[in-house]
Amino acid sequence: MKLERIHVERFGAWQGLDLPVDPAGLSVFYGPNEAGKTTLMRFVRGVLYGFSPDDSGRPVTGDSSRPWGGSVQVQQGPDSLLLRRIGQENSRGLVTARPVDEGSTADDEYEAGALSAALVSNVSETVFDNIFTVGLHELQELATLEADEVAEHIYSLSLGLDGQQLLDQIGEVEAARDEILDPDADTGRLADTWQEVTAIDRQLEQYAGVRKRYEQLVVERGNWEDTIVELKERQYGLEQQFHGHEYMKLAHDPWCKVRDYERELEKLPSLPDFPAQGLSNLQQLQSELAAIRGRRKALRDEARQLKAHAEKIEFDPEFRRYAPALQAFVDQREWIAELIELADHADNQAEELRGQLNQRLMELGDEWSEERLQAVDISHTTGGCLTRRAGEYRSLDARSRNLKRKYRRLSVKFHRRQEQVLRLRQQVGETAIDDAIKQTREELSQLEDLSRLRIRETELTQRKIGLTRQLQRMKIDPTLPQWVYAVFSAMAITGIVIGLIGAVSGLTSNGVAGMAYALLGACCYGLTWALRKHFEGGFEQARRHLQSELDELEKRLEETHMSLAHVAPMISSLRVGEANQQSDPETPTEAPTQADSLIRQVAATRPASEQSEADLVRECLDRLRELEQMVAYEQWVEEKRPALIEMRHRLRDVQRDFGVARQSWCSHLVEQGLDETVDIDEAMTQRDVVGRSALLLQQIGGLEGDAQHARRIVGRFRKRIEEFGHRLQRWDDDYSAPLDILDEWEEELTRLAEARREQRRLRREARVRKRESSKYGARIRRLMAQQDAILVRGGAVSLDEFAERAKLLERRFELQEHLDRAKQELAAVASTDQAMAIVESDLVDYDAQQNEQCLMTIRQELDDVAVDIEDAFENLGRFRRETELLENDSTPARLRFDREQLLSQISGLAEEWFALDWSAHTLEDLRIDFEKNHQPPILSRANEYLQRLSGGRYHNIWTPLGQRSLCVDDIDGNTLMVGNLSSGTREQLFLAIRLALIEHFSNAGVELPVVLDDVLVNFDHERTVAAIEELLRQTRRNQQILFFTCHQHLAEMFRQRGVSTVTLPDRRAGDLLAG
Amino acid sequence: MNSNRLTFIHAAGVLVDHQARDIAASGEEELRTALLDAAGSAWQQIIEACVVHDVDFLLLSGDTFCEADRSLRARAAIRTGFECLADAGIQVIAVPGCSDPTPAWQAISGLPENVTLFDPLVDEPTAIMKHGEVLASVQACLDASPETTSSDGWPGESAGQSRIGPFRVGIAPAFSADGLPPSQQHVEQWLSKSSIDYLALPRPFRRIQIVQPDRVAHCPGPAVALTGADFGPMGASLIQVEANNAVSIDLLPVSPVRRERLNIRVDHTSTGELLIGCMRQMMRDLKAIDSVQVLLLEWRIKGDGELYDSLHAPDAEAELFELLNVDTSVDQGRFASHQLTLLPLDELPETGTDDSESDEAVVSPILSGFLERLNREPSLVRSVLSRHSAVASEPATPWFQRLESLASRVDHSSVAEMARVRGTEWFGGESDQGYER
Repeated sequence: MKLERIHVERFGAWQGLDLPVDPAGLSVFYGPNEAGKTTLMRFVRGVLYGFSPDDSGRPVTGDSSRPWGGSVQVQQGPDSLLLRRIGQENSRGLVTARPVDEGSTADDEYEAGALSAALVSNVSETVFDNIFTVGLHELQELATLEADEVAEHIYSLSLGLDGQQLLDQIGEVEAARDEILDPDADTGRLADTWQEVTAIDRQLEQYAGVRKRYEQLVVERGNWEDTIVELKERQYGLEQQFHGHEYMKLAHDPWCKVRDYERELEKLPSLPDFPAQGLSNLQQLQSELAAIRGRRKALRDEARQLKAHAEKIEFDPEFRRYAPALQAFVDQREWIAELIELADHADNQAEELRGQLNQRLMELGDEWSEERLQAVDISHTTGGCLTRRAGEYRSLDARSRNLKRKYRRLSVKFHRRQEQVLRLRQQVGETAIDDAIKQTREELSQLEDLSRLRIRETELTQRKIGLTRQLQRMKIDPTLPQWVYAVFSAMAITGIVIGLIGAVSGLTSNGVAGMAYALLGACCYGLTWALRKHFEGGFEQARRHLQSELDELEKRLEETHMSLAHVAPMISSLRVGEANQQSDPETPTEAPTQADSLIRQVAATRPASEQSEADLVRECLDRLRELEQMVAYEQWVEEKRPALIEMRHRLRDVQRDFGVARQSWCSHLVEQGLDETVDIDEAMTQRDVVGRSALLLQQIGGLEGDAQHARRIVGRFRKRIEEFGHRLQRWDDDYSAPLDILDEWEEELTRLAEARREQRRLRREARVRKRESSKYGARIRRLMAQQDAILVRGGAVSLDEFAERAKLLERRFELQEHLDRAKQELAAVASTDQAMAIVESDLVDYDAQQNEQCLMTIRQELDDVAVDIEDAFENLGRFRRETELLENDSTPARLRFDREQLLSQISGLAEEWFALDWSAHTLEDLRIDFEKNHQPPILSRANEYLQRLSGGRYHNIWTPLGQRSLCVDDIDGNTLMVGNLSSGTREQLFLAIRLALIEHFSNAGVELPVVLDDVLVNFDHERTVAAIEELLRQTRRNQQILFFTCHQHLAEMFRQRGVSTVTLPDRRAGDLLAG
Repeated sequence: MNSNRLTFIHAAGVLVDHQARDIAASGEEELRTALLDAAGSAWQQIIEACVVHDVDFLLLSGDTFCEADRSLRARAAIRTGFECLADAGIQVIAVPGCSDPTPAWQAISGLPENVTLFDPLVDEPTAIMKHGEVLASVQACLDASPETTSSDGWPGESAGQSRIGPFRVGIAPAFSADGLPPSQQHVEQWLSKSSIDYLALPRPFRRIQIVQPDRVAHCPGPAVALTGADFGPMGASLIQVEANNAVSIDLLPVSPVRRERLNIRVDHTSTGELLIGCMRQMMRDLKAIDSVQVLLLEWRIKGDGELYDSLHAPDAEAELFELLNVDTSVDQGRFASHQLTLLPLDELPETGTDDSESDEAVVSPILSGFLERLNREPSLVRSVLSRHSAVASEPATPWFQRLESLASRVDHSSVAEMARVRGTEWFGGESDQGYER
């Protein structure tokens, strides 16, 4: 669409303004400040998109009763349309259109809301406002480029999946890295662990003093050990001294005695033959003789009495005869009593166990009896065998379940996909999949053709209607009003009259005047003829032109109808086919693709009646996607089929093995006498109960056997007692209680033994007395002979003389004895310390008191040394305990253990941190590379514009990944953010981006005029020239530009480059001056 | 060399009372208690092994303890151990290392007389005596020429000839002349140029043995599996030198902790039962060692498929190890701690050229760029640090200094692997590679 004329009926400061616009190039409008340039720009936007409510608040001129409004004449292809919008309350105005031709009148106007949208190629108002109509304000603000629809072209499309993933990952990696360690904030797990290590280090630091203390203790311990050695040496010396004095003290008394006894012995006479103990022997012999004689008489009397007593004792002869046998029975009494007790006890135990057994049998069930229990083999061998079988059975069970689960999972997935493939295959029918894909693609292509033809048809129809109406208007409505023709006629008549007057006067009076008149008349006529020819000729030419264009249009429309007629049946058949194919709800749907968005765009441009074609395109695309997916599923199914079969075989094998194992398990249970069950735990529990019950049964049997055996022995024993009782002729005793009989017999045996002992003793005593009395006679004679011999040897004749001589001899013996004893005492003292030697002079000079004093002193010293040694040992023990305590203190080791683990963690965290930090920086580098290689094409294009606008100063515009900001690289390699640019450069940057966007839209088929409102005022001269050149270059690309300026020099610069400038009229005069 | 047979134990990196790291389940009290005294227990076993094998001397080639720990228990245990060896008449050659420098050794009071502290940087060659007879000599093995190293008091011989003097033990320093840990080339150079019979290598060598004619270089490796990189049986070495100069080296496993990294590959056909069975079999295949009390197992499961995906569930790891622990016979009575690492397949989908291929075969250009940059980086850690240092202010921030210090502790290859896995996770999915504006 291109603007051909702007007509403001009433808008803002303007009323009745009519401005021609060059549709093919640059139109420059010059006007001073407040001339209404910006109002004109808003007017153009308002006519195209609707008046905004803000416009009503602006200053107005003219008749306020007339509504807002005006029109623009636009060129759309070969046609011209007059688009008119009249303001209405609570709406953006009523828009009408009519073709611009000779015949068209206001009655031909029709409401053209959809047409106006088609004229602006569905470009939104925001985009038009921010890109195509730019004032100085828009050029200075980045925000005007950040509206979503605009920014979408500049920023977001640059990411892609990889870019978005990269961008997301950078944030995650940095977060993960900072979670481990943020060195600047000193936070993170690594920092925490480091603090824990520091805390342990501080605790360990406290043990540094302990080590010093330990070394001191070791030294102190050594010192005390040395002290103890010294004290012990001193103690030894003192003990030696003490021993010497003690020795002297002990030796002095015996030495004195020896000396005195030897002196007395020298004085006594020597009696070598005197019988020793002669006197006492004599006295003893005499007393002995008297005693023996009295004794012999007494013995003889006693012997007679004893013999008489022995003869009085009597016994039961039968009892005495069987006494040994009876004693044997009595000796077995305790054993028999134990046997009876054992039997009773065994019976009780057996009874108790039988109760337990009955309870267990009840637990096992009715079919279990003692006989069946006895039949069960409960040995360890069978137990191990059962456990092994159970393990095998359980293992196979688990394996079977596991395999079955896996098979089921794979099978479900397999069949689901297979069903999907089959379903799709049914839809496809017998057609090969590749053919179906190809066919669907062809259908898609046909649909696209149809859509294209529909658009073309609509466009041509619209244009045809416009041209037809324009032609009709040209037929009906004359181009020039009647008064013009009247003026033309008057001028022509006047010219003829003046020419005739000139001819008459030239022939009659003055030739020169006549020629002047004739010439004037000819000029008038000529001018009139020329004007008429000019206006009427243009009208006819335009009508012919429109007619030929209409013919051409009809021809193209015919061709389009033919094409549609060709394509429509195919599409109809396709619709029928599509209708038959119900969409499968289970068919997986995929995320919308670029094709989907394309469909949506196409559908958005179509009226509602054409939505079905868009739906068909979507369905075709869905179908194509399903077919391609079916190919992938088929491949998957074919790949997985052998695996599924193999798994099925494996499952069958495992299940067969499992069945065999289950059968083996059950038969094994039966073999062992247990109930048949597949529950391993139940079988093991039953076997356990059966085993314990069988053991109980065995115990009961054993106990009952023991009791019976004991009772048999007791019975036999009682029978023998009864036999012996009968032999003793004791028929009345009760032999059923053998123990009572035995007690009775034991008492009798005791009494018999005592009587027999007493009889033997009395007889023996009698014989002894008799023998002794006979011995006493011989002895009396012997004693008499001894008495005589002693007297002879003592040289005495009487007992008195013998006594005198015996006294002297006794004294001598006494002295000798004392002397020997004293010598032994002295020798004993000497033998106590053989190393000790005493000189006799020392004994002579010995002073007991002085010696005692020395002993006391040494003892005192020894006590002191002993105390010192004890103290030293105590100290040594204390130091040893302390050192051992320190040595055995495991706290530092535990702390160091914890520290090592923390250091291990730190190493691990550090490794992770290094990896993440490197990754974060590397991803950042990758991001930069990605940015370089994936900048939006709009910015690449804008680079060229900026380079030209800035004279090569700035060469690269780029946007950081994932951000809505712009950066510019200059020729020095510096990267500048938008905020850091000068205002002029920033405006050049934004102008460059807008030019790139306009080019982008133009390439996409969007043809809209660009309205620029004094956008070059901040440019320096050089860049202004460059900008004007760039605008002219744009016009050469068939881009229409309307440039408003209030600067004369700018208008002049355009004028110098051949661009005509329109000076906006004074609003009060309403005239139009062309420059 | 003497005609008598010589026996000694060589241990390195005992690090008495040093604490283990990289424990996944360090919160479990039972595991914690077992690990607290792991290094001390290993030290006790070394001492007991010296007595049981009636060795002539014990050679500790560095890092016997960690001075930075300032552990009293370590000092007490070392002193007690040396006293025990003194009672048995066994000599000790203690070589300071990076963790236990000479001043730290000198600060231990009351070391018995059987201990000889040998600093290879300052000490002259010294003789190991027993009953008045020279058993062996110990000398430093620095970056010196053959002439200087052979003038150690014993006549030098070329390789292959029989020796006359005592068995010569060389001590390699923890750092070479360029300040870096010695490489295998360094060792081979030292071994070929020096007149020694046995070259004792310190940490950071792992267990290594380099044999040349008539001489051998050996490092027993860390005695205890304290770090996450110490896999397999750990311990000291029993060195037996026969009368004919034949040197045999046997591992004495003393570490109560054993770490193993077990790799399993799963695919679409793998099941949970198969995985558990495989894991149990791998545990049973681990050779049982008496000294081991704790098994730290890192399971690295790589692959894809349903089973692999199911292992990503929150409770999957716990359930897996619970099932694994049902069979108590597999851990052979030891405390076993498990850790699971899931790794995706290395192979990336190739860039699709055929339009008929599915979308999954299309590699994202972002991922391609990411991996291309990753492959170009020699070290991600250095790259990060240099980037930060370029933008950092002066003086450097505390965290920058900390990160620089951490750079020496982290595994650079793990960082690269982590970045690769993450990148594949981030961009390995759907792509609009064909998207062009």
